[in-house]
Amino acid sequence: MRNDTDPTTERGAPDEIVVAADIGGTFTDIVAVRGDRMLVGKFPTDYDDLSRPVRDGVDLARRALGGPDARVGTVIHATTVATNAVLERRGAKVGLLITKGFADLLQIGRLRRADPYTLDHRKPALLVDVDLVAEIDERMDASGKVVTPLNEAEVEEAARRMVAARAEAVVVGFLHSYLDPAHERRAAAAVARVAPGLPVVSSAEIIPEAREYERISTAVIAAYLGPVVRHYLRRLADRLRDEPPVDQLWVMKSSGGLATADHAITHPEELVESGPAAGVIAAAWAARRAGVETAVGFDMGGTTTKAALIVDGTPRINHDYEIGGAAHSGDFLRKGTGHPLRSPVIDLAEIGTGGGSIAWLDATGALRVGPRSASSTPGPACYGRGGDLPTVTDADLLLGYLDSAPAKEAGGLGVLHRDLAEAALSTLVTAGAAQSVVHAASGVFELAVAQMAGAVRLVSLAKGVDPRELILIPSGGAGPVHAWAIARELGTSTLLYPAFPGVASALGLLQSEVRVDLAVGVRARPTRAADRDLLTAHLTRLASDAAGQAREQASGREPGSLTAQLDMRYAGQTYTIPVDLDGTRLPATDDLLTRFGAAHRAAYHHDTPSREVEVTTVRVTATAPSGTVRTTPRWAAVPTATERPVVFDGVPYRVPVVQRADVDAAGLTGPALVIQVDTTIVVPPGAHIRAVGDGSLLEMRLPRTDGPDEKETR
Amino acid sequence: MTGSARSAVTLQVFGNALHGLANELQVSMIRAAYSPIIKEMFDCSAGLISPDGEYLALADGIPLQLGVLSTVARELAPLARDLGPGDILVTNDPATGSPHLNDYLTVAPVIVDGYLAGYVSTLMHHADVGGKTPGSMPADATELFAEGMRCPPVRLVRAGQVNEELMSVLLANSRLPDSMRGDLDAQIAGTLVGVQRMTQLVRRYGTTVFDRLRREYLDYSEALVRAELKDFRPGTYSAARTLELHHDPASAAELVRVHAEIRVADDGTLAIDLSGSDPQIALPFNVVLSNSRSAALVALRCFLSDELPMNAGIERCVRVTCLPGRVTNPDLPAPVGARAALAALVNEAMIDAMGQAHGSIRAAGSSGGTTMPYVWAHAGGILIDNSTTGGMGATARQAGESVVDNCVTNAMSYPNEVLEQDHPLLIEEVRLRRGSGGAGRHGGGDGLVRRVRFLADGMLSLRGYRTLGGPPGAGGGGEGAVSRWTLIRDGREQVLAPQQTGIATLPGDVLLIETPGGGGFGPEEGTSDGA
Repeated sequence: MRNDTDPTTERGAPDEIVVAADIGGTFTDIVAVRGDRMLVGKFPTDYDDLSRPVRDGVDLARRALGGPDARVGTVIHATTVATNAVLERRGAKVGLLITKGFADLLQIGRLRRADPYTLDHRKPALLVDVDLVAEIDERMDASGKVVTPLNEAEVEEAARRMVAARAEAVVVGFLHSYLDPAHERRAAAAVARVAPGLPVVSSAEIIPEAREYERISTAVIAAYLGPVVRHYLRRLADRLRDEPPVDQLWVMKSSGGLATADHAITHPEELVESGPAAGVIAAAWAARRAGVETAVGFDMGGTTTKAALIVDGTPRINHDYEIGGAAHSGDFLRKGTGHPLRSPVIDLAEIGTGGGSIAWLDATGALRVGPRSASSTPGPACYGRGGDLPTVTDADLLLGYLDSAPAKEAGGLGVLHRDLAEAALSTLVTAGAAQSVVHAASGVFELAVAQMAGAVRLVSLAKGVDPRELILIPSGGAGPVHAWAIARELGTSTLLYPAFPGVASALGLLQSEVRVDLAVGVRARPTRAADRDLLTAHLTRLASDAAGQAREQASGREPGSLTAQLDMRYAGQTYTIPVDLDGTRLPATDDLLTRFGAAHRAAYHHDTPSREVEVTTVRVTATAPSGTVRTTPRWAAVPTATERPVVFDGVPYRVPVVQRADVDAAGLTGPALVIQVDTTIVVPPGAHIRAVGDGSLLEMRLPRTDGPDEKETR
Repeated sequence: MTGSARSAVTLQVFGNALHGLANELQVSMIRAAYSPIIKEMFDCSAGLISPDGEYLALADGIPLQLGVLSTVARELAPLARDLGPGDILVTNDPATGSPHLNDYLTVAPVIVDGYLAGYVSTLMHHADVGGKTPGSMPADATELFAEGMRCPPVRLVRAGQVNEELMSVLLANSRLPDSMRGDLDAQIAGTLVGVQRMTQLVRRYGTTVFDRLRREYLDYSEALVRAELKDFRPGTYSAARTLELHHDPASAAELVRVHAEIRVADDGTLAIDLSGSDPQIALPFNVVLSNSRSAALVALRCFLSDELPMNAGIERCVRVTCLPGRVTNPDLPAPVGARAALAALVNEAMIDAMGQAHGSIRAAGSSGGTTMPYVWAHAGGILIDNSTTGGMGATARQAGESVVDNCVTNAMSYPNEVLEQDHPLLIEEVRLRRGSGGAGRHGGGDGLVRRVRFLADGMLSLRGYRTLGGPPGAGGGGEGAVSRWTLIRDGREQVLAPQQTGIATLPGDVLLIETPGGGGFGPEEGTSDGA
């Protein structure tokens, strides 16, 4: 599996090995760097012990990159454990203590339906255990004044019931706690007295913001994920402490920033899109490097495919996310299919088609692909690990896009078995769905491509962005195999390939920084002196806390940036606009109001300078360099035949196989296969592929396939 | 890709760009708005209209406003010809199709190099437009004039500049002038942005191609709809629903009936006639015809697959008629302020009749989810609480969902914490009304219990219904529980009439609201299926 290259180092500690590990549904991708050397590998994901391939990667990295004294200082990790726990409903049994009168809050929700035009509406299944919701006598009003004192005896009684019912976590969610968390804190302490060790999440600690449904839902998600994430990360940390131990473990958050494992354990709600975020960071990095304005990162894994819109090199961040619902890609008006989550998440769309998706015939005899996946065990039939159902990967192999020869052996997969793939796909022929095995393979390929194109449409077309005007950045091991066909389906003409698309998420981890986001809810008018003092006090405290946490999580490295935002609105409005400050200093009142007016105009095309302005939330973000290396990669040659039979649109070709390192700025014209250790880039007939920029990226242009463009005047 | 496949992609790109634009417009109105009914409940709509007055795209907004924008744009088209760039017409006049006086519509033409590409239109519910009671929807209004100021189509914005003289007239007739100004600003800004964005889109394609694509796109959408209409069996079907009129607990309720007759033609298109409904009444429950069109579009949409674009493709396949002088097509100045209740029943009757015609498993049992707002005016403002909805009716496929908006309003509830920030009251209880769903093979969804304690003097008005009969079941299913409104003062309970107005409240008074459950579907079996 090794790609022992000789990249140019920009910075980094020469003796320390940094290992990035992205655990996907099918493969665990490993990228390791030490000074100027890099190692890339893929291991099958081990569902019995997800940490095992990470440890194997760490050990391999030390052997391959290190001398006798070499040590792996840092492991950076992206995980799908949180999101899978929600999808498979494997989270904790959660109890909820809630203000008297509001036991049904989560079942009632906000009443609105995402799809108003159906007679068969369903709300999402709850993440709390409905039998473990207890009302507590307590109440504060909208000014934070106590209306009914907290009845601690009632809390203790409820906690005892929850212990008896084997609750694994408890949420405390009281009305108006964002103004004063005293009742929530005392209730949490009471639970701790009765049930020491039982995890307790207080809603105001998670997000100190008004709107009880969204706040308590977020707290429930945190509690639901807590034990799963804690168990998982502790096990991984333990494994990494085996001799010789790794110094530190960082985890990718949904926001695209890194946090220590300890932080992630206390804030598991920040991990729901950890894995996908890393892939998007890598695509954004490639887009910035190529100076691309509008791009879609398209990440094809073994089980799912994700797409994210990247504008001016930056992914969109969604602060108003829902989990466990239909793919809506953050669409404000289509809320109501999942559970609200108020935590920054990179905006992406995901569909259940990937390399491991199983092809099958429905009741009418029509061919279907997915969403059932062969995962990594038994895996596609061609892996020879007992799987006998035809998958997308089996089709890719038969069509010649993948190599059955030993190139993959180094990746830990062993030889891909063509005969097993044929046997699996022939079941579709026997059932009358195809005339030949190749015909069946073409059908599976086309269907998978059409479905995956849907993910790209969700983040482009559905937002009014014409896919013909954007650039597709494929990643994931199978991404570059299918990207050409997906682009063609969408009418996209240009594709951009990162250095190692097959391990892009792992590379994204190396390109990320430690990030700490802190916030506090207020209701302050910047025109009042006392309120200004309050804001300054909050900014000072949050800045100091965030910097401290970032420094601590980055092992003492000084924060690289410390920025602040105020969420502001005109008094009487509900929705707020973030206003960026210079650093974390509160500007003069006039300056602040001018900035807000400009932001309001930019967002809503009007402003009203005579109106009172309010600040509702103070936010501070600290980032700190992760100290990892950034390299200009080179690609080791992959041993392979120089020519292979490949089928494009049912037509057989013999196509040249070209090493990635050999594709230069002049480029070449397809049909061709560009091969590298982590993936194969399929270049269809007539397409042209060439190296761009500093040579680390490839750009492919597809031929125009038909008549005049619909647009006359451009 | 083949030529036809490519052109199908072109149409999809085109249609999605239009739809995205309509949604962008609506989101920007919601975000910039002041009054809670917009900012929290999304009570507004935005659409792009073709020069022929057909929907090019409609935002994912309030379904009950579905048929309104295109009606109003068609009505205003003769006036719009005299408009220049940056001009906006506004109106709240039911004579031009506005559902009630609270709803102000904007219509602005999109003119690119002399080519009329279409109109941008928005609708927003304004919290108070004058009239007899705060909130402008007095439940005892006997004519339109009690419901506020009537504004025929006027040019409120000329070349991008607001006519402040006219604006001052509108604001002088509202009890909440500041909030109305903020909301109108948001609506005007949204409209102007829509015009600008649509202009960009037209320029991107060029006027000739745009003109061709907009026609092709609607034809293509219509073809998609027609293909699905084959599931309706030709014939004539009908259904009726009844609303109780009851604003004085001391007197008996009167009943008013709506009747929908649906004729399904051989090609699957639907002609809906509401002429069998009762004569119009001197109470504000009359429904203007544009709103009945909305109800019909919503109902039909429920029988079609999700992928169909929301535009004139559907509009073309359904025609709604009604003789004048009926509750479903009143002669003005009939009062129309509280039309939502009857409009919901019109929609339910249509769903019932369409279900008979459709006959597949998608036919609904009943739709019991209903919004029953109350209005509470106090010294510091006016609360319109739309968070009081009921349970959905069950269908042939599944049990009804509890406490969710029906397919007519689909507003969002008011978060209790925000509500308490804005008004002097405490929400003491918000609970499922367990057991209120109708029995059946599939049970109806449960309604809601909501207990509100007022902390200041105020004036309360109700807009409830279904106190006499709950949402009916279908296919042998049982009826959902009836609704109930109770005022509790010093521990004494007083049952209120569902449309009672002018109830003086004292600090400490509690309003207890119990909303209806949905109807059940199918006869109840020995054991229920968990519904």
